[in-house]
Amino acid sequence: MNNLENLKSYIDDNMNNIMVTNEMKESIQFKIKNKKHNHLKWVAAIILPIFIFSSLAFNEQISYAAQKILSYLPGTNKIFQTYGENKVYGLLGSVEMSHNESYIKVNTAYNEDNTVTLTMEGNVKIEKEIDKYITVVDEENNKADIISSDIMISNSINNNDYQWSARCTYEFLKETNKFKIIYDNVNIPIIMSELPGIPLETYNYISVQNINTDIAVVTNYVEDRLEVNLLSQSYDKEKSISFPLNDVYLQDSNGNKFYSRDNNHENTLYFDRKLENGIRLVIPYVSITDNDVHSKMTIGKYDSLPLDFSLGDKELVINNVEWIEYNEKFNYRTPENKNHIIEEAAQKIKLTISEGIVNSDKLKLQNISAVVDKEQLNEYIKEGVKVIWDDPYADINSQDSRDENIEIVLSNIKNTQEEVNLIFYAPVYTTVDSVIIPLRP
Amino acid sequence: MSRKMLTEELFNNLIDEYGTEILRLCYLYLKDYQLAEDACQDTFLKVYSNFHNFNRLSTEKTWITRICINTCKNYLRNPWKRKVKLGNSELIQNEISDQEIFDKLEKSELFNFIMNLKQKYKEIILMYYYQQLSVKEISQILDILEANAYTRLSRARQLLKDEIGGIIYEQS
Repeated sequence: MNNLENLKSYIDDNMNNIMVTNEMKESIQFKIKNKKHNHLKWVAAIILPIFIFSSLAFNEQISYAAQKILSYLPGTNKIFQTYGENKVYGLLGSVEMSHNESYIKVNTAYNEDNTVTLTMEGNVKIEKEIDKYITVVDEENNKADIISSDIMISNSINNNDYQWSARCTYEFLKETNKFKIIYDNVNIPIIMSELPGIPLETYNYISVQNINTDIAVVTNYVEDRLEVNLLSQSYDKEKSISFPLNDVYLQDSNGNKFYSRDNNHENTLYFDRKLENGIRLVIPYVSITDNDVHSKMTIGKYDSLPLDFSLGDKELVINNVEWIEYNEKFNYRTPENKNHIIEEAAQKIKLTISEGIVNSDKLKLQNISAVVDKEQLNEYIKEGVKVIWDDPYADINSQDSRDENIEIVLSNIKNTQEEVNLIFYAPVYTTVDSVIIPLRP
Repeated sequence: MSRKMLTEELFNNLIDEYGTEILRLCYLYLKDYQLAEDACQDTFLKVYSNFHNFNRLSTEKTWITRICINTCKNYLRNPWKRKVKLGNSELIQNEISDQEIFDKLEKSELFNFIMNLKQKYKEIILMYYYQQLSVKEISQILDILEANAYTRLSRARQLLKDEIGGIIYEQS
């Protein structure tokens, strides 16, 4: 085997004696039956009272139904607030249209008033101007206007691995839940379903002002566990929110903390607790990535430090720059199968960055990304082929930090460079204060 | 969203459909047949217990693979599992010889290099080329952004190309 595309058949052919046998199936079923038997006792002793309790709580919730209505589309981690006026529609599942090897897949769709946001992927030809290739029309064939798009294309169209993914928002003439996506005379009909609303009052919801974000909590009992779904909505579309799931805990009215037993890494946590009066969910900090800001800067070997710069609203300081000379080594093998070891002198710089003292928004810088102008990086050309160098430092280029300083290492710089042009982008901040959300018992 | 009940028939269908592929994936991860069989059984026990949590926003295959990979990682992390395996190894008359199978597989230089990649690169290559999952599905399984999954996959390919075919990438 010399081609990755043959990996499946290669492994399957060589592992043809590794397969699930009837004995293995019987063993799984035997273990399930044992588990079920023990489980029934738990159901009788614990789950039924909790179930009755939660049913009572649910009735109370209905009687408290407030005007503010929350809806959410599972998987999108997005909150929709309607105040009961507009309906919220979403695509439950995904829709794919394929022909031979070519496909377009719509992974999510949801509306907000008369706009619809779609996330799609595919391997049919598109370019950055996606609206030249993909048209969206309503039921009466009125074309929707594309009002924002974010497209990522991997490899060139001639490459077998050509693939793209896109997130686009379209504006329709009026609110709609049925529309068509048209690509080269192929129609993909999309029908979105109305998302169920959850009434909110003072429980299970908080608006965090300094990050302009709403956070809502949806709870549910699953077997003997309390399932807690964390949903967030940043009103700044370029900012994304994440939670430190392992550090989130429940706190009862006596101040006792209870950490989750498990989480699904997608903002769903499982606790061995039941809801009770005075119980609160505590998120020690929230992380916010700002994808819309960048800052250019030139740093020379002999610049005096510290260096101040701005990134979005933040004032940052480069306290230290360390220039380190090293040799890059890698193997090069010609098409004739001759090996060469290539060694080239290079430089890397280690930056130590902290926040300026003027920041008072109760947000702390946790991480920052940076790149060097590619013209200033080593590039290897041998025998008419271009060598793309694999950066051994890529995994440690920047380090998340809860300390005062952030360290960034940028390598593969030409050893003749006396200065480098840098772009800083995608800073990650964390809230200094905890976010505390009372949960409805 | 309505969630499907897991009947015995449906569960058996899941094992029939995905069991062998999951077992082989476990084997590639753990390189030990006894452990792989345990991990595969554990995976399907978790599938059974958590089916009501399966929200159908991903495919069954993606969801089961995610459970499988987490189970294998736990096995690799858990020294107790390894110890138990070592303790029992003399008692088990293993019909499957790990050595034999991996000797056979490792005849391919490319396969060898894949198995010697760092864990995160190995798993993405196996998921993309062996399990034939899309980048979107892989990002769901690994809980990373699609963009990061793309980057990781291309870095893994690049590492393999560095090792195998010489460093022949793009025409300059």
